[in-house]
Amino acid sequence: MRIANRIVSFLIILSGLFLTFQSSNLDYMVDGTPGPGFMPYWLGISIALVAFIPAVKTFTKFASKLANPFKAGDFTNFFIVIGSSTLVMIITPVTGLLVALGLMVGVIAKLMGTQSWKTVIGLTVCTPVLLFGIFVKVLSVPLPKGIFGF
Amino acid sequence: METLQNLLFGLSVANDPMNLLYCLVGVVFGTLVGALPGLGPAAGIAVLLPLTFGANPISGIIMLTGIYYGAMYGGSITSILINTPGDSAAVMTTLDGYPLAKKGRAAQALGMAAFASIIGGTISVIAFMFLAPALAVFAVRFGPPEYFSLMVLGLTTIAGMTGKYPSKGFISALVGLFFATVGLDLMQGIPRFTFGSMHLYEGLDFIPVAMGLFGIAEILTCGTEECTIKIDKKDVTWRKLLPSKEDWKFSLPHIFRGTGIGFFIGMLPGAGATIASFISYGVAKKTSKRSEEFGTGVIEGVAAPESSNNAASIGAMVPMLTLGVPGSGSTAIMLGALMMFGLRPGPMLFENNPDFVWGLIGSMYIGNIFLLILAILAVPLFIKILNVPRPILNATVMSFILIGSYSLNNSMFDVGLTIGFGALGFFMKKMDYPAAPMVLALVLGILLETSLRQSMIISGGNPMIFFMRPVSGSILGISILAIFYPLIKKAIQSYQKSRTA
Repeated sequence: MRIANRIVSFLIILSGLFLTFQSSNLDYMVDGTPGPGFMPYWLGISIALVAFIPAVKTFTKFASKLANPFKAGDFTNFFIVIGSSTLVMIITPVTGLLVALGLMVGVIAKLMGTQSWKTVIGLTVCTPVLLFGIFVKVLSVPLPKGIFGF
Repeated sequence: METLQNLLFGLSVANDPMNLLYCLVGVVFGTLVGALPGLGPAAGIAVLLPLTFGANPISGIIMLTGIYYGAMYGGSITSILINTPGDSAAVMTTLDGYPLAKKGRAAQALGMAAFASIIGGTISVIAFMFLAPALAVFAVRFGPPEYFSLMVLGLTTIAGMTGKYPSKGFISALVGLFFATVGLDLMQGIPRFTFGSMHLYEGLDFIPVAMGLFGIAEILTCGTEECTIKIDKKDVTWRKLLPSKEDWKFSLPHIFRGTGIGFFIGMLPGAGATIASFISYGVAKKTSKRSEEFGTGVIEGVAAPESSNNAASIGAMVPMLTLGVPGSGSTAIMLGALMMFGLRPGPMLFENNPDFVWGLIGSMYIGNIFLLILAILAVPLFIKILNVPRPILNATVMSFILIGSYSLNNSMFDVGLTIGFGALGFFMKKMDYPAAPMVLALVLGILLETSLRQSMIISGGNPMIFFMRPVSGSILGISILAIFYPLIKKAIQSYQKSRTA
């Protein structure tokens, strides 16, 4: 946790400084009053300054009380969910959003531990139907269609 | 006496079978829409507006009001059960509602959310009836400096509610404020931090951010067995749904306080239920006898924001009806609907259309009763959601989150943002950076910056304007105290420890 906190604080400080640098491209004051660059400038400085506090704490006794936040296997769900939802973004232009979401639901359910294929296939089919009923029929949201025409 | 006569008249108007039906439909749809992640009250009213096209103005506005406070309650359902707020006003409910559900007290949390909402709503209707005209005059005196101070107060109270590490809470809030600056500058029309993307010109909407940071992050960190919430069927008896005597003892003062805060803040144009709910939560945390336990699942942590956001939804009606100034995004849409019905909101509305105004007030009482019945009847159904195996629940919720973020602007870019913020939320959660301050700062950021710049224009660049005006100065004084409160508290505690040692 100590090293993780240091790295994160360092990244936040860098981001704050980058923000301050970027905001210098915008007008700081316009006709004697704050311009579009005023608030981002001070936000960048404030972020960098406040981020020093957790960084400094990692050098004190306080840091030894903190446990490592990342355990083995923590990233399994991360890769399953973020990976399959990113796949939704990629395949939607081809399959349409409903089909893509149906596939995503099946993949997540299976990889996260659902044993029964019947349940997985049921979810893959029923979820898009339910979403179609709510979002297309009731709420009239125009969803992206794919090669299947829905 | 005249007010009571008017109320009786209003109840007779609201009791018309057609109006009752519209009210019921509004409350039911509102609760459902509020429970869907991504579709808050404003989106719900906008989406369901066409249903009122054939109705008379009274029936139409009764239905829209029902949707409004139904959605306010509906937002708390997903907050408590799956840690995904249905709308921004329900963000604070997740902080203690979800831990309560994890402890096996989801029924009591939902029950308390319903009772707190209804108590807050009913008291506010009474206050609305008696105080509306006078309070509207006071609220309209709030200028940009007062708004700025109010936003600062709202954000600084976050320090008190971020649990163990206030510095991380402040970082989260500051980054949220930065996200609020993304998009076209409101005053000069210059793009800021858009990196050439047209999608970012309108800024970051809070819904993809909130759904990512709360909903997806929850799925990512809680997909394993230890996070499965098991509800015993015995825990879902009608008796268990009612909060215990002890729950009431802890919650009642916070419900009344939350109602007062919510009603007052709801009246301020632009402030709305979100800021009301998080100020109420912050105040509840600071005044509670067990403030250390906030965030771990205390019942008053649900009661305070829920009473407050419902009270704010009634309070927001005050400037809308008496001044024609909407108090929130939802009331802005309702204002448009009123105009569509051919009514002109303003001080003369009470004189020219008493049947409309008092019918609406009467319907609020009836709507609150409908909401209570619906909440109690539906709670066992909602609880059953928790017994669905975690992989199935995660997969289904994920599909609702992604389609909800798409339906916001019919944009796949928003879906991508939601996924991105989900990944960010995972790391924030792991590193103990709270997500609530970031989301709330994003919601308030635009108003805060606009108020700051307007104030400086008014004062010719003199920042003392914030301290010279009595209301603004007082609010800022409280904000400064709120910033240093954790330090003062620590100093007092260490002093007391050293004295006892």
